[in-house]
Amino acid sequence: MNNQKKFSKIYDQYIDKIYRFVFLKVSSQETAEDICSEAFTRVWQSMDKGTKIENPQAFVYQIARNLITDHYRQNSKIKLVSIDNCKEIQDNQPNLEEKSLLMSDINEVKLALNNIKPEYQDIIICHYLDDLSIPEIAEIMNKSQGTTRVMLHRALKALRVVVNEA
Amino acid sequence: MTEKELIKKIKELQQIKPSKDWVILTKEKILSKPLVNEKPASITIGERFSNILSVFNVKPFLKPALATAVCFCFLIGVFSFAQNALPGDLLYSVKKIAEQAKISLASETEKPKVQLELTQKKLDELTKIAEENKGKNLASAVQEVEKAMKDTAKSLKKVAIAGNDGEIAKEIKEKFEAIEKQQETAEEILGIKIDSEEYDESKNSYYKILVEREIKELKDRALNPEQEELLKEAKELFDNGNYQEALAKIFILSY
Repeated sequence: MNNQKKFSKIYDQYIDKIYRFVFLKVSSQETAEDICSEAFTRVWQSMDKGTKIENPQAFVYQIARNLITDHYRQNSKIKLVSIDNCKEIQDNQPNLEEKSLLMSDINEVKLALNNIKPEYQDIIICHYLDDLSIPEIAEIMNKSQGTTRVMLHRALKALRVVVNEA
Repeated sequence: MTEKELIKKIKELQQIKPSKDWVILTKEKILSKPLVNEKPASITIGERFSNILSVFNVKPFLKPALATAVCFCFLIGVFSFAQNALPGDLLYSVKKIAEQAKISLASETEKPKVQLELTQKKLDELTKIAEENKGKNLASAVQEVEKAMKDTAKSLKKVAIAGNDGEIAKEIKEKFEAIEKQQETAEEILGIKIDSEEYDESKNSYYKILVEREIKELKDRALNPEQEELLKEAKELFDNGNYQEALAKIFILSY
C-alpha cells in the first residue's frame, strides 16, 4: 500500500472523531477545522519523511492535543486593543443556530465539559464519545492504565458536579 | 443527574460531526500540498541510461550493444562538432586530442609532413580569428601557432638526420613555402611577429642536410649537360647559404 492510500485510510477512519475531539475543546467550528487540517497535514508529512506510525490513532490524537495546547498558548498572548480601533471586529454573539443549540441538552454537557480540567475533557471525550478503551487512552495521554482509570472516574465526577450546579 | 444519565447525554454529543464537504475538500488539499521533504526518487546513472534506452524498446540483451553505439555516436558527434572550434573555445581541447592522435599514429618519416599540415591549420585558425575580429581567442591562437612550429622544428631535426625519400622532401618543401605565405598574411593582418625562430632554423638545417646529401648523390650519377649546369648552380647557391633555392634546382634536375 502506498503512502497516499495509507493516509486516506487513516484520514477516513479518524477525521470525524478528531474533529469532534477538537471542536469540543475549542468551541469554534473554524478553529476546529484549522486544527484538524493541520493535524492531518502533519500526519501526511510524517508519513512522507518515512516515520513508521505504529499506532495511527494515538499518533493523530497526540498531534491534535498538542495543536490545541499551542492554540490556547497563542491565544493567551493575544493583546487586547480598544474597540474604537476595530470597528469591523467580528460579532462574537452566538448566532441563531448556536442559540438554539444553547437551549439543548447537548449544549449543556458541552458547556459543562468546557468547565472541567483539559485532561478530564480529553479522557471523557475519548472514552464516551470516541469509544476508546482505557489502554488506548493511556497510550494517547502517556499515562499508565491505572492512572487513566482513576482519572476517568474523577473526570466524570467533576463533570457531574458542574452539570448539577448549572 | 445520575452518572448513567450523564453518560447518555455525553453520548449525544456524538452528533457533532464535520461537514462532509469540508472533510472531502481538506483531504484533497492535504494530498495535493507539495511536501517539504518531497524529493525525486534517486535514480542511478545506470537506471537513467536504462530509462533512455527504454524509449527504443529494445530487448534487454541488446541494451549493452545499443548503449555502446549511443556512446560512440555521441563521441563522434562531439569530435565532429569540435573540429570547428577555435583556440580559446570550450571544445578546442577535444579538437587537440584528435590532432595529437593523428600525429602519434604517423610514422617517423611522415611526422614532419603531418606536423606541417597542423601548423598550416593553426595559421588558418589564426587568420580566421583575425578576420572575424575575435579578440579573446587571439592570444591562444598565436600560442598554438608558435607551439605547432616548435613541434614541427623538433620532428624536422629528427627526419633531417635520418633522411627521407625525395617525394616526401618535395611535399615538405611545398608545405614550407605555403606556411611562409600564410605566416606573412597572418602577420600582416594582425601587425604582430610570430615567434618562429626555432622553426626557421630547423627548416634551414633541414634544407642544408637534404641539399648536401642530394649533391653528394648526384655527383656519382651520369648527368646530361643541362643537368650538370643545374647541379653547378645548386652548388653555388648551397655555398652561398641559399639552401632553399639550391633544393629547388635539385628537384628540377632530379624529377
